[in-house]
Amino acid sequence: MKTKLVCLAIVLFPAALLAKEITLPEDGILWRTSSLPGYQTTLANCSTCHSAHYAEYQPPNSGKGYWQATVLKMKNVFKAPLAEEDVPSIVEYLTDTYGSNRK
Amino acid sequence: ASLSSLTAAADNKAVLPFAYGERDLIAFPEKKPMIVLTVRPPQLETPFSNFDNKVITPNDEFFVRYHWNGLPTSIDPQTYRLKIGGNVAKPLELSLNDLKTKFTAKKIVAVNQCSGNSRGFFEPRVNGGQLSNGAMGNAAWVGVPLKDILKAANPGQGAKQVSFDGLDKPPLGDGPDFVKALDIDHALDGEVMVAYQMNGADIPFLNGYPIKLIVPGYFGTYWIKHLSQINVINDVFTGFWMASAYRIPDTDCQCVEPGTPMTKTIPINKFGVRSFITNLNDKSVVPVGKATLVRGIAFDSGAGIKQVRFSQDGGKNWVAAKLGQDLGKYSFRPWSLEFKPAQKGALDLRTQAFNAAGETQPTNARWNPPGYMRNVIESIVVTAV
Ligand code: HEC
Repeated sequence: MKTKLVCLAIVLFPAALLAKEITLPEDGILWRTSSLPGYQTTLANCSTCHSAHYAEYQPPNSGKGYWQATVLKMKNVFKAPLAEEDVPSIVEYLTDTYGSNRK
Repeated sequence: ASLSSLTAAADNKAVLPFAYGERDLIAFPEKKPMIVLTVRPPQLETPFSNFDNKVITPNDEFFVRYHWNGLPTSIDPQTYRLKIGGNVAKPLELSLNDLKTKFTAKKIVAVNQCSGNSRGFFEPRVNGGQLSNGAMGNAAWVGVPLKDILKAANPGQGAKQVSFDGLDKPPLGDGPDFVKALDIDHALDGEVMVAYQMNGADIPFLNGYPIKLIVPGYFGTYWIKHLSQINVINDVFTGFWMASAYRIPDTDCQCVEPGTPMTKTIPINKFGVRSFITNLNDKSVVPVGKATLVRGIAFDSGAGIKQVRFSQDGGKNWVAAKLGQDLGKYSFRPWSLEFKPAQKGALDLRTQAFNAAGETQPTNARWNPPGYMRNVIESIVVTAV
Protein backbone atom coordinates (compact mmCIF):
# COMPACT_ATOMS: atom_id res chain seq x y z
CA MET A 1 0.00 0.00 0.00
CA LYS A 2 2.75 2.37 1.00
CA THR A 3 4.69 1.61 -2.20
CA LYS A 4 1.56 2.23 -4.24
CA LEU A 5 1.12 5.63 -2.66
CA VAL A 6 4.72 6.55 -3.39
CA CYS A 7 4.36 5.47 -7.03
CA LEU A 8 1.18 7.48 -7.32
CA ALA A 9 2.98 10.51 -5.94
CA ILE A 10 5.76 10.10 -8.50
CA VAL A 11 3.23 9.87 -11.32
CA LEU A 12 1.24 12.85 -10.11
CA PHE A 13 4.08 15.14 -9.04
CA PRO A 14 7.13 14.08 -11.02
CA ALA A 15 8.31 17.66 -11.43
CA ALA A 16 8.23 18.46 -7.73
CA LEU A 17 10.34 15.39 -7.08
CA LEU A 18 12.91 16.27 -9.70
CA ALA A 19 13.37 19.96 -9.00
CA LYS A 20 16.91 20.81 -8.00
CA GLU A 21 17.11 22.90 -4.84
CA ILE A 22 19.83 24.66 -2.92
CA THR A 23 20.03 26.27 0.50
CA LEU A 24 22.45 29.16 0.79
CA PRO A 25 24.47 30.06 3.91
CA GLU A 26 23.71 33.02 6.18
CA ASP A 27 25.49 36.36 5.66
CA GLY A 28 28.31 35.75 8.17
CA ILE A 29 30.02 39.13 7.95
CA LEU A 30 27.82 41.94 9.29
CA TRP A 31 28.05 45.74 9.18
CA ARG A 32 30.80 46.94 11.54
CA THR A 33 29.37 48.33 14.75
CA SER A 34 29.61 52.04 15.47
CA SER A 35 28.06 54.63 17.75
CA LEU A 36 27.49 56.91 14.76
CA PRO A 37 23.82 57.40 13.84
CA GLY A 38 24.56 56.23 10.29
CA TYR A 39 25.19 52.73 11.60
CA GLN A 40 21.50 52.26 12.44
CA THR A 41 20.44 53.75 9.11
CA THR A 42 22.81 51.39 7.31
CA LEU A 43 21.42 48.39 9.21
CA ALA A 44 17.94 49.45 8.19
CA ASN A 45 18.70 50.11 4.51
CA CYS A 46 21.69 48.24 3.24
CA SER A 47 21.06 44.51 3.52
CA THR A 48 18.13 43.99 1.18
CA CYS A 49 20.28 43.24 -1.85
CA HIS A 50 23.61 42.04 -0.50
CA SER A 51 25.67 41.15 2.54
CA ALA A 52 28.02 43.62 4.26
CA HIS A 53 30.96 41.93 2.48
CA TYR A 54 30.55 44.53 -0.26
CA ALA A 55 31.83 47.25 2.07
CA GLU A 56 34.07 45.04 4.22
CA TYR A 57 36.61 44.26 1.50
CA GLN A 58 36.93 47.65 -0.21
CA PRO A 59 40.58 48.78 -0.13
CA PRO A 60 41.96 51.19 2.51
CA ASN A 61 42.25 54.09 0.02
CA SER A 62 38.42 54.29 -0.31
CA GLY A 63 37.73 57.82 0.89
CA LYS A 64 34.62 59.88 1.46
CA GLY A 65 34.27 60.54 -2.28
CA TYR A 66 34.00 56.83 -2.95
CA TRP A 67 31.45 56.20 -0.19
CA GLN A 68 29.36 59.18 -1.24
CA ALA A 69 29.34 58.06 -4.89
CA THR A 70 28.59 54.49 -3.87
CA VAL A 71 25.61 55.31 -1.65
CA LEU A 72 24.20 57.53 -4.40
CA LYS A 73 24.74 54.72 -6.91
CA MET A 74 22.80 52.37 -4.60
CA LYS A 75 19.96 54.87 -4.47
CA ASN A 76 19.84 56.16 -8.03
CA VAL A 77 21.08 53.25 -10.14
CA PHE A 78 20.27 50.14 -8.13
CA LYS A 79 17.10 51.75 -6.71
CA ALA A 80 17.79 51.24 -3.02
CA PRO A 81 14.74 52.80 -1.30
CA LEU A 82 16.80 55.35 0.65
CA ALA A 83 15.54 58.69 1.93
CA GLU A 84 17.62 61.61 0.62
CA GLU A 85 18.14 62.88 4.19
CA ASP A 86 19.66 59.55 5.29
CA VAL A 87 22.49 59.70 2.73
CA PRO A 88 24.92 61.99 4.67
CA SER A 89 24.82 59.94 7.89
CA ILE A 90 25.35 56.66 6.01
CA VAL A 91 28.29 58.21 4.14
CA GLU A 92 29.77 59.47 7.40
CA TYR A 93 29.44 56.03 9.01
CA LEU A 94 31.00 54.22 6.03
CA THR A 95 33.88 56.70 5.69
CA ASP A 96 34.66 56.46 9.38
CA THR A 97 34.23 52.71 9.78
CA TYR A 98 35.66 51.32 6.51
CA GLY A 99 38.47 52.83 4.43
CA SER A 100 41.76 53.89 5.99
CA ASN A 101 40.50 54.35 9.59
CA ARG A 102 39.32 50.75 9.78
CA LYS A 103 40.23 49.07 13.04
CA ALA B 1 37.26 22.39 22.88
CA SER B 2 38.56 25.92 22.51
CA LEU B 3 41.76 24.68 20.91
CA SER B 4 39.97 22.62 18.28
CA SER B 5 37.63 25.48 17.45
CA LEU B 6 40.65 27.74 17.02
CA THR B 7 42.24 25.35 14.56
CA ALA B 8 38.94 25.00 12.75
CA ALA B 9 38.74 28.77 12.49
CA ALA B 10 42.25 28.94 11.04
CA ASP B 11 41.37 26.23 8.50
CA ASN B 12 38.37 28.21 7.39
CA LYS B 13 40.30 31.37 6.61
CA ALA B 14 42.40 32.53 3.72
CA VAL B 15 44.52 35.65 3.50
CA LEU B 16 44.89 37.19 0.06
CA PRO B 17 48.15 39.10 -0.46
CA PHE B 18 46.79 42.65 -0.34
CA ALA B 19 45.41 44.99 2.34
CA TYR B 20 42.04 43.86 3.74
CA GLY B 21 42.63 40.45 2.17
CA GLU B 22 41.27 38.29 5.04
CA ARG B 23 38.59 35.93 3.68
CA ASP B 24 36.36 33.11 4.88
CA LEU B 25 36.47 29.71 3.21
CA ILE B 26 32.94 28.28 3.02
CA ALA B 27 31.45 25.25 1.24
CA PHE B 28 28.39 26.38 -0.71
CA PRO B 29 25.97 23.87 -2.31
CA GLU B 30 27.86 21.52 -4.68
CA LYS B 31 31.14 23.30 -3.87
CA LYS B 32 34.24 22.56 -1.86
CA PRO B 33 35.29 25.33 0.55
CA MET B 34 35.91 28.40 -1.61
CA ILE B 35 37.24 31.89 -0.90
CA VAL B 36 34.18 34.01 -0.13
CA LEU B 37 34.05 37.45 -1.71
CA THR B 38 30.40 37.91 -0.76
CA VAL B 39 28.01 35.39 0.78
CA ARG B 40 24.88 37.09 -0.54
CA PRO B 41 24.67 36.99 -3.50
CA PRO B 42 27.24 34.17 -3.76
CA GLN B 43 30.63 35.26 -5.10
CA LEU B 44 33.28 32.60 -4.66
CA GLU B 45 36.90 32.41 -5.76
CA THR B 46 38.93 29.23 -6.32
CA PRO B 47 41.90 28.90 -3.92
CA PHE B 48 44.89 29.30 -6.24
CA SER B 49 46.66 26.09 -5.24
CA ASN B 50 43.69 24.18 -6.72
CA PHE B 51 44.92 25.11 -10.22
CA ASP B 52 48.10 23.08 -9.81
CA ASN B 53 48.55 19.96 -11.92
CA LYS B 54 45.12 19.97 -13.53
CA VAL B 55 44.04 21.33 -16.89
CA ILE B 56 40.33 21.08 -16.11
CA THR B 57 38.89 22.90 -13.11
CA PRO B 58 36.50 20.55 -11.28
CA ASN B 59 32.86 21.64 -11.02
CA ASP B 60 33.00 21.82 -7.24
CA GLU B 61 36.02 24.17 -7.39
CA PHE B 62 34.79 26.49 -10.16
CA PHE B 63 34.37 30.18 -9.27
CA VAL B 64 30.93 31.78 -8.82
CA ARG B 65 29.86 35.33 -9.53
CA TYR B 66 26.34 36.78 -9.18
CA HIS B 67 25.19 40.40 -9.21
CA TRP B 68 21.73 40.17 -7.65
CA ASN B 69 20.55 38.11 -4.69
CA GLY B 70 17.27 37.37 -6.46
CA LEU B 71 18.69 34.13 -7.77
CA PRO B 72 16.63 30.96 -8.05
CA THR B 73 17.03 28.34 -5.31
CA SER B 74 14.79 25.72 -6.91
CA ILE B 75 14.80 24.83 -10.60
CA ASP B 76 12.63 22.19 -12.20
CA PRO B 77 14.32 20.72 -15.28
CA GLN B 78 11.00 19.33 -16.55
CA THR B 79 9.31 22.69 -16.85
CA TYR B 80 12.40 24.80 -17.60
CA ARG B 81 12.10 26.76 -20.84
CA LEU B 82 14.50 28.83 -22.95
CA LYS B 83 12.61 31.44 -24.98
CA ILE B 84 13.91 32.99 -28.17
CA GLY B 85 12.09 36.12 -29.30
CA GLY B 86 12.47 39.65 -30.60
CA ASN B 87 13.15 40.10 -34.28
CA VAL B 88 12.73 36.46 -35.34
CA ALA B 89 10.36 34.87 -37.83
CA LYS B 90 9.69 31.94 -35.52
CA PRO B 91 9.76 32.60 -31.75
CA LEU B 92 10.78 29.46 -29.85
CA GLU B 93 10.25 27.95 -26.44
CA LEU B 94 12.70 25.14 -25.91
CA SER B 95 12.67 22.58 -23.13
CA LEU B 96 15.89 20.98 -21.93
CA ASN B 97 14.83 17.88 -23.77
CA ASP B 98 14.43 19.91 -26.98
CA LEU B 99 17.96 21.25 -26.58
CA LYS B 100 19.31 17.75 -26.06
CA THR B 101 17.35 16.00 -28.82
CA LYS B 102 16.50 18.50 -31.56
CA PHE B 103 20.01 19.88 -32.07
CA THR B 104 23.44 18.39 -32.64
CA ALA B 105 25.54 18.57 -29.48
CA LYS B 106 28.93 20.22 -29.57
CA LYS B 107 31.75 20.13 -27.03
CA ILE B 108 34.27 22.87 -26.39
CA VAL B 109 36.90 23.23 -23.69
CA ALA B 110 37.04 26.88 -22.71
CA VAL B 111 38.32 29.11 -19.94
CA ASN B 112 35.80 31.31 -18.16
CA GLN B 113 37.39 34.29 -16.45
CA CYS B 114 35.75 37.03 -14.41
CA SER B 115 36.35 40.56 -15.76
CA GLY B 116 37.56 41.56 -12.31
CA ASN B 117 39.83 38.56 -11.80
CA SER B 118 42.99 39.81 -10.00
CA ARG B 119 41.45 43.24 -9.24
CA GLY B 120 42.94 43.20 -5.73
CA PHE B 121 46.43 43.51 -7.27
CA PHE B 122 45.74 46.84 -9.00
CA GLU B 123 48.06 49.63 -7.85
CA PRO B 124 46.72 52.14 -7.00
CA ARG B 125 43.92 49.95 -5.61
CA VAL B 126 40.50 50.27 -7.26
CA ASN B 127 37.03 49.60 -5.86
CA GLY B 128 34.86 46.63 -6.74
CA GLY B 129 35.16 42.93 -5.91
CA GLN B 130 38.62 42.45 -4.40
CA LEU B 131 39.64 39.20 -6.08
CA SER B 132 43.04 37.56 -6.33
CA ASN B 133 43.78 35.25 -9.28
CA GLY B 134 41.17 32.55 -8.65
CA ALA B 135 38.12 33.95 -10.48
CA MET B 136 38.84 31.80 -13.52
CA GLY B 137 38.44 28.16 -14.50
CA ASN B 138 38.62 25.79 -17.44
CA ALA B 139 35.88 23.31 -18.28
CA ALA B 140 34.58 21.04 -21.05
CA TRP B 141 31.18 22.42 -22.04
CA VAL B 142 28.61 20.41 -23.99
CA GLY B 143 25.58 22.05 -25.55
CA VAL B 144 24.10 23.54 -28.70
CA PRO B 145 25.80 26.16 -30.89
CA LEU B 146 23.81 29.37 -30.46
CA LYS B 147 23.93 29.70 -34.26
CA ASP B 148 21.76 26.58 -34.65
CA ILE B 149 19.18 27.89 -32.18
CA LEU B 150 19.09 31.32 -33.83
CA LYS B 151 18.83 29.76 -37.31
CA ALA B 152 15.83 27.76 -36.09
CA ALA B 153 14.20 31.00 -34.90
CA ASN B 154 15.26 32.80 -38.10
CA PRO B 155 16.38 36.36 -37.29
CA GLY B 156 14.75 39.07 -39.41
CA GLN B 157 16.21 41.89 -41.50
CA GLY B 158 18.02 44.57 -39.52
CA ALA B 159 19.04 42.31 -36.62
CA LYS B 160 22.00 43.99 -34.93
CA GLN B 161 22.50 42.38 -31.54
CA VAL B 162 21.24 39.49 -29.45
CA SER B 163 20.45 39.97 -25.74
CA PHE B 164 20.63 37.31 -23.04
CA ASP B 165 18.80 37.14 -19.72
CA GLY B 166 18.84 34.53 -16.96
CA LEU B 167 16.58 33.72 -14.01
CA ASP B 168 18.54 35.85 -11.50
CA LYS B 169 16.70 39.08 -10.75
CA PRO B 170 17.02 42.22 -8.62
CA PRO B 171 15.27 41.54 -5.29
CA LEU B 172 13.41 44.86 -5.51
CA GLY B 173 11.27 45.64 -8.54
CA ASP B 174 13.03 48.39 -10.42
CA GLY B 175 16.78 47.75 -10.22
CA PRO B 176 18.53 47.00 -13.53
CA ASP B 177 18.17 43.30 -14.38
CA PHE B 178 21.41 41.58 -15.38
CA VAL B 179 21.10 41.34 -19.17
CA LYS B 180 24.01 41.19 -21.64
CA ALA B 181 24.26 41.44 -25.43
CA LEU B 182 26.52 40.32 -28.26
CA ASP B 183 26.68 41.55 -31.84
CA ILE B 184 24.65 39.35 -34.18
CA ASP B 185 27.74 38.20 -36.14
CA HIS B 186 29.39 37.09 -32.91
CA ALA B 187 26.22 35.30 -31.79
CA LEU B 188 26.20 33.44 -35.15
CA ASP B 189 29.90 32.51 -35.19
CA GLY B 190 29.22 28.85 -34.35
CA GLU B 191 31.38 28.95 -31.22
CA VAL B 192 29.09 30.78 -28.81
CA MET B 193 26.86 28.10 -27.35
CA VAL B 194 24.13 27.19 -24.89
CA ALA B 195 25.67 24.55 -22.62
CA TYR B 196 23.75 22.01 -20.55
CA GLN B 197 26.73 20.02 -19.38
CA MET B 198 29.99 20.93 -17.64
CA ASN B 199 32.82 18.41 -17.32
CA GLY B 200 30.48 15.49 -18.03
CA ALA B 201 27.87 16.42 -15.40
CA ASP B 202 24.99 18.84 -14.95
CA ILE B 203 26.20 22.43 -14.60
CA PRO B 204 26.39 23.14 -10.82
CA PHE B 205 23.45 25.21 -9.61
CA LEU B 206 25.62 28.22 -8.77
CA ASN B 207 27.35 28.11 -12.16
CA GLY B 208 24.03 28.44 -13.99
CA TYR B 209 22.09 25.18 -13.85
CA PRO B 210 20.50 23.96 -16.07
CA ILE B 211 21.85 26.01 -19.01
CA LYS B 212 24.52 28.65 -19.40
CA LEU B 213 25.71 30.79 -22.29
CA ILE B 214 29.32 29.97 -23.26
CA VAL B 215 31.23 32.78 -25.00
CA PRO B 216 34.71 31.37 -25.67
CA GLY B 217 37.55 33.86 -25.21
CA TYR B 218 35.23 36.49 -23.73
CA PHE B 219 35.07 37.52 -20.08
CA GLY B 220 32.58 35.76 -17.81
CA THR B 221 30.19 38.72 -17.71
CA TYR B 222 28.70 37.42 -20.98
CA TRP B 223 28.32 33.82 -19.77
CA ILE B 224 24.70 34.23 -18.59
CA LYS B 225 23.63 31.69 -15.97
CA HIS B 226 20.17 30.03 -15.77
CA LEU B 227 19.74 31.32 -19.34
CA SER B 228 16.02 31.87 -19.94
CA GLN B 229 15.46 34.52 -22.61
CA ILE B 230 17.28 35.32 -25.86
CA ASN B 231 16.09 38.32 -27.89
CA VAL B 232 17.20 39.39 -31.35
CA ILE B 233 17.21 43.20 -31.41
CA ASN B 234 17.72 45.86 -34.06
CA ASP B 235 19.77 48.30 -31.95
CA VAL B 236 22.75 48.30 -29.67
CA PHE B 237 21.44 47.10 -26.31
CA THR B 238 21.35 49.92 -23.74
CA GLY B 239 20.83 48.09 -20.43
CA PHE B 240 22.92 49.22 -17.43
CA TRP B 241 25.26 46.20 -17.46
CA MET B 242 26.28 46.87 -21.08
CA ALA B 243 26.04 50.66 -21.38
CA SER B 244 27.39 51.74 -17.96
CA ALA B 245 29.08 48.77 -16.29
CA TYR B 246 31.70 46.40 -17.69
CA ARG B 247 33.28 49.15 -19.83
CA ILE B 248 36.99 49.44 -20.63
CA PRO B 249 39.00 52.37 -22.02
CA ASP B 250 38.86 52.62 -25.81
CA THR B 251 42.65 52.94 -26.12
CA ASP B 252 45.23 50.59 -27.71
CA CYS B 253 46.33 49.15 -24.36
CA GLN B 254 42.78 49.20 -22.96
CA CYS B 255 44.34 51.13 -20.10
CA VAL B 256 44.80 54.69 -18.84
CA GLU B 257 47.46 56.48 -16.78
CA PRO B 258 47.18 54.97 -13.26
CA GLY B 259 44.82 56.99 -11.09
CA THR B 260 43.15 58.82 -13.97
CA PRO B 261 39.56 58.44 -15.24
CA MET B 262 38.47 56.81 -18.50
CA THR B 263 37.04 59.06 -21.18
CA LYS B 264 35.93 57.07 -24.24
CA THR B 265 34.89 53.50 -23.37
CA ILE B 266 33.76 50.27 -25.05
CA PRO B 267 32.19 47.10 -23.61
CA ILE B 268 34.74 44.68 -22.16
CA ASN B 269 35.34 41.81 -24.56
CA LYS B 270 38.21 39.29 -24.99
CA PHE B 271 40.84 38.24 -22.47
CA GLY B 272 44.49 39.05 -22.89
CA VAL B 273 47.22 36.40 -22.75
CA ARG B 274 48.01 35.15 -19.22
CA SER B 275 50.29 32.60 -17.57
CA PHE B 276 50.78 31.45 -14.00
CA ILE B 277 53.13 29.26 -11.99
CA THR B 278 50.94 26.88 -9.98
CA ASN B 279 53.30 24.59 -8.02
CA LEU B 280 55.42 27.25 -6.28
CA ASN B 281 54.50 30.38 -4.36
CA ASP B 282 56.11 33.14 -2.31
CA LYS B 283 56.62 30.72 0.60
CA SER B 284 58.40 28.03 -1.44
CA VAL B 285 61.96 27.03 -0.66
CA VAL B 286 64.04 25.52 -3.51
CA PRO B 287 67.51 23.87 -3.45
CA VAL B 288 70.45 25.66 -5.13
CA GLY B 289 72.09 23.75 -7.97
CA LYS B 290 69.50 20.96 -8.10
CA ALA B 291 66.83 20.46 -10.75
CA THR B 292 63.48 21.83 -9.53
CA LEU B 293 60.23 21.27 -11.39
CA VAL B 294 58.20 24.38 -12.13
CA ARG B 295 54.84 24.10 -13.83
CA GLY B 296 51.70 26.07 -14.50
CA ILE B 297 49.04 27.12 -16.95
CA ALA B 298 48.70 29.63 -19.77
CA PHE B 299 45.71 30.77 -21.81
CA ASP B 300 44.52 33.44 -24.20
CA SER B 301 41.27 34.35 -25.94
CA GLY B 302 41.46 31.71 -28.68
CA ALA B 303 44.44 32.27 -30.96
CA GLY B 304 46.04 29.49 -28.92
CA ILE B 305 49.16 29.45 -26.74
CA LYS B 306 52.29 29.09 -28.84
CA GLN B 307 55.09 29.53 -26.34
CA VAL B 308 55.67 29.95 -22.62
CA ARG B 309 59.02 31.12 -21.30
CA PHE B 310 60.41 31.19 -17.79
CA SER B 311 62.86 33.38 -15.92
CA GLN B 312 64.44 32.86 -12.49
CA ASP B 313 66.08 36.30 -12.41
CA GLY B 314 63.17 38.72 -12.65
CA GLY B 315 62.97 38.66 -16.46
CA LYS B 316 66.62 39.22 -17.44
CA ASN B 317 67.18 35.74 -18.88
CA TRP B 318 64.50 33.43 -20.24
CA VAL B 319 64.26 29.74 -21.16
CA ALA B 320 61.43 28.04 -23.06
CA ALA B 321 59.03 25.81 -21.13
CA LYS B 322 57.61 22.57 -22.50
CA LEU B 323 53.94 22.82 -23.45
CA GLY B 324 51.64 20.02 -22.25
CA GLN B 325 48.34 18.53 -23.33
CA ASP B 326 46.41 20.59 -25.91
CA LEU B 327 42.66 20.52 -25.20
CA GLY B 328 41.89 23.26 -27.72
CA LYS B 329 42.64 26.88 -28.38
CA TYR B 330 40.28 28.20 -25.67
CA SER B 331 41.60 25.88 -22.96
CA PHE B 332 44.21 26.27 -20.25
CA ARG B 333 47.50 24.98 -21.70
CA PRO B 334 49.72 23.32 -19.13
CA TRP B 335 53.46 23.93 -19.30
CA SER B 336 56.45 22.79 -17.27
CA LEU B 337 60.23 22.74 -17.11
CA GLU B 338 63.06 21.95 -14.75
CA PHE B 339 65.37 24.71 -13.63
CA LYS B 340 68.44 24.85 -11.44
CA PRO B 341 68.28 27.71 -8.95
CA ALA B 342 71.57 29.52 -9.59
CA GLN B 343 72.33 31.13 -6.23
CA LYS B 344 71.17 31.37 -2.63
CA GLY B 345 68.60 33.92 -1.63
CA ALA B 346 65.48 35.39 -3.19
CA LEU B 347 64.70 34.30 -6.76
CA ASP B 348 62.15 36.30 -8.73
CA LEU B 349 60.35 33.72 -10.91
CA ARG B 350 58.36 34.91 -13.91
CA THR B 351 56.56 33.35 -16.85
CA GLN B 352 55.50 34.95 -20.08
CA ALA B 353 53.15 33.37 -22.62
CA PHE B 354 52.85 34.19 -26.33
CA ASN B 355 49.86 33.26 -28.49
CA ALA B 356 49.63 32.31 -32.15
CA ALA B 357 48.59 35.86 -33.04
CA GLY B 358 51.89 37.21 -31.66
CA GLU B 359 50.30 38.74 -28.57
CA THR B 360 51.91 38.49 -25.16
CA GLN B 361 51.78 39.75 -21.59
CA PRO B 362 53.05 43.24 -20.68
CA THR B 363 56.06 43.68 -18.38
CA ASN B 364 54.35 46.47 -16.45
CA ALA B 365 50.78 46.18 -15.19
CA ARG B 366 48.21 48.13 -17.17
CA TRP B 367 45.69 50.10 -15.18
CA ASN B 368 42.04 51.11 -15.62
CA PRO B 369 39.53 52.47 -13.06
CA PRO B 370 37.19 49.43 -12.96
CA GLY B 371 40.12 47.04 -12.40
CA TYR B 372 39.57 44.81 -15.40
CA MET B 373 41.81 42.62 -17.57
CA ARG B 374 44.99 42.33 -15.52
CA ASN B 375 47.45 40.23 -17.54
CA VAL B 376 50.89 41.48 -16.53
CA ILE B 377 53.84 39.05 -16.33
CA GLU B 378 53.36 37.78 -12.77
CA SER B 379 56.25 37.42 -10.38
CA ILE B 380 56.66 35.13 -7.40
CA VAL B 381 59.67 35.27 -5.11
CA VAL B 382 60.93 31.94 -3.78
CA THR B 383 63.88 31.34 -1.47
CA ALA B 384 66.82 29.27 -2.73
CA VAL B 385 68.89 27.52 -0.04
C1 HEC C 1 18.37 47.76 -4.30
C2 HEC C 1 19.53 46.98 -4.12
C3 HEC C 1 20.63 47.48 -3.25
C4 HEC C 1 20.57 48.11 -2.03
C5 HEC C 1 19.34 48.36 -1.17
C6 HEC C 1 21.92 48.43 -1.67
N1 HEC C 1 22.80 47.99 -2.63
FE1 HEC C 1 24.83 48.08 -2.56
N2 HEC C 1 24.95 47.15 -4.36
C7 HEC C 1 23.86 46.73 -5.11
C8 HEC C 1 24.35 46.16 -6.35
C9 HEC C 1 23.47 45.57 -7.45
C10 HEC C 1 25.75 46.27 -6.33
C11 HEC C 1 26.74 45.86 -7.40
C12 HEC C 1 26.80 44.41 -7.42
C13 HEC C 1 27.82 43.84 -8.35
O1 HEC C 1 28.40 44.50 -9.21
O2 HEC C 1 28.02 42.66 -8.19
C14 HEC C 1 26.09 46.88 -5.06
C15 HEC C 1 27.40 47.15 -4.64
C16 HEC C 1 27.75 47.73 -3.44
C17 HEC C 1 29.11 48.03 -3.02
C18 HEC C 1 30.36 47.73 -3.82
C19 HEC C 1 30.51 48.83 -4.80
C20 HEC C 1 31.72 48.74 -5.67
O3 HEC C 1 32.52 49.69 -5.63
O4 HEC C 1 31.84 47.77 -6.41
C21 HEC C 1 29.02 48.63 -1.81
C22 HEC C 1 30.17 49.15 -0.97
C23 HEC C 1 27.62 48.71 -1.46
N3 HEC C 1 26.86 48.15 -2.45
C24 HEC C 1 27.13 49.28 -0.30
C25 HEC C 1 25.78 49.51 -0.04
C26 HEC C 1 25.28 50.34 1.03
C27 HEC C 1 26.14 51.09 2.03
C28 HEC C 1 23.92 50.32 0.94
C29 HEC C 1 22.92 51.09 1.74
C30 HEC C 1 23.07 52.49 1.77
C31 HEC C 1 23.56 49.46 -0.17
N4 HEC C 1 24.72 49.00 -0.76
C32 HEC C 1 22.27 49.14 -0.53
C33 HEC C 1 22.54 46.80 -4.76
C34 HEC C 1 22.05 47.40 -3.60
